[in-house]
Amino acid sequence: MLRRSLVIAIAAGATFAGPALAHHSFAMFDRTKSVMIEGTVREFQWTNPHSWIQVVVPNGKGGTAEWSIECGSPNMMSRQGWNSHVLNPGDKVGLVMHPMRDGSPAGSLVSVTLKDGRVLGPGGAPAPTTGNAPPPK
Amino acid sequence: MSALRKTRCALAALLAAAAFAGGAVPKALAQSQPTPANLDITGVWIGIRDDPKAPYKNTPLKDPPLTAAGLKASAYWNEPRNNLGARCLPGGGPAGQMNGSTFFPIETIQKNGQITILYELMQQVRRVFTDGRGHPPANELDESWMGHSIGHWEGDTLVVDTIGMHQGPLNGSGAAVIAQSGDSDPRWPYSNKLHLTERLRMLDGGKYLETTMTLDDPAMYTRPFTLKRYWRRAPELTPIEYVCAENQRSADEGYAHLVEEKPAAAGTKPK
Repeated sequence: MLRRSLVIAIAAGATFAGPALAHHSFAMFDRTKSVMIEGTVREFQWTNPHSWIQVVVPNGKGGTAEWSIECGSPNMMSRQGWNSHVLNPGDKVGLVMHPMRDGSPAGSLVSVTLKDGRVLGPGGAPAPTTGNAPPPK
Repeated sequence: MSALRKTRCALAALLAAAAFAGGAVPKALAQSQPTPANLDITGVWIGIRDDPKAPYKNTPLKDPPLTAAGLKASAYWNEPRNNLGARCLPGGGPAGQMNGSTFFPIETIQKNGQITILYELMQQVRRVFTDGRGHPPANELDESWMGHSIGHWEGDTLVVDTIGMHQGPLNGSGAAVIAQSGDSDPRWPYSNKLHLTERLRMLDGGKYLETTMTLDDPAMYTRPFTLKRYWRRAPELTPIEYVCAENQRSADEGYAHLVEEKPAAAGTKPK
């Protein structure tokens, strides 16, 4: 399957420490699943009510797929080590997210691993201490 | 200097001396004199509910008894399509905003005759009038999200009385989360008949702010209920901008998978 080639399912049932008091329901995300992807940032939307990371991921067939990763709000994120300059177009990142229940290429951020090894959480809480993506190659 | 002005100056000096010597400040005086530090709640505050070391604990919301209309309203607000937050509407009202959020600081500015509260969440502004005015009469009161708030001091406690709020959910996605609840918890509704009384006082020399809220809403609840929420003075935090509508992908960008977030086309607001 296409997506299975991109995505490594990890730690089913992992606890969710994300933006629990978020702006809208996160029911569309399957919080019992965490998946890991590695890709290249196309755009970092430092916006309210939530920030989004647009990341382009190889699809394993010579092409790419673009994922939309939802983060917390800038106020939450800015108090957990983020700012609008943390991610830039072209940056390689490793991500862990809770995927959409319907399988579309989007997810709720659990943690992002930057090339320098820094790991950042979704905003409402620090990044988990385990289960994060390795620094991107 | 006119005789009148001399009299005023003398009176002001006398009252100021009285204010600093004693604890409580008469209401009329609080409006015209510098505020003693123990009665000045100016500052940035952040909720402490997740801090295990905090000396004060929020009171949990123990299922307040809903009326039949309250049950209906709770079901209404539990529908994702009725989620105010997904439309960038500030559900929660002042009670929701005073819930002691650990994410969204509040900033209070106390000046003669008015305490202004800036809420980072949804960038709401609330004015608590302490100039002695009352509420407008019912036939002149316009409903609003924050309602109409008047305050006065009773000793070291600021008592704020609020009416005239739009109905909404006290908790839930996009609203301030008064129940500290998750998505699956019931929504606690309030009607435009809500009468909110808040008692605010600083503790430990101004390190903490206690807010005791009593919600009296006979349309939704069979009895009034009271919640305590605690805030820590947080000079290290600078509230930032929160313009909710700038990237409403969930509601507006045609994400089929986020259809539940779309604005309510159906459903009638509870009366």
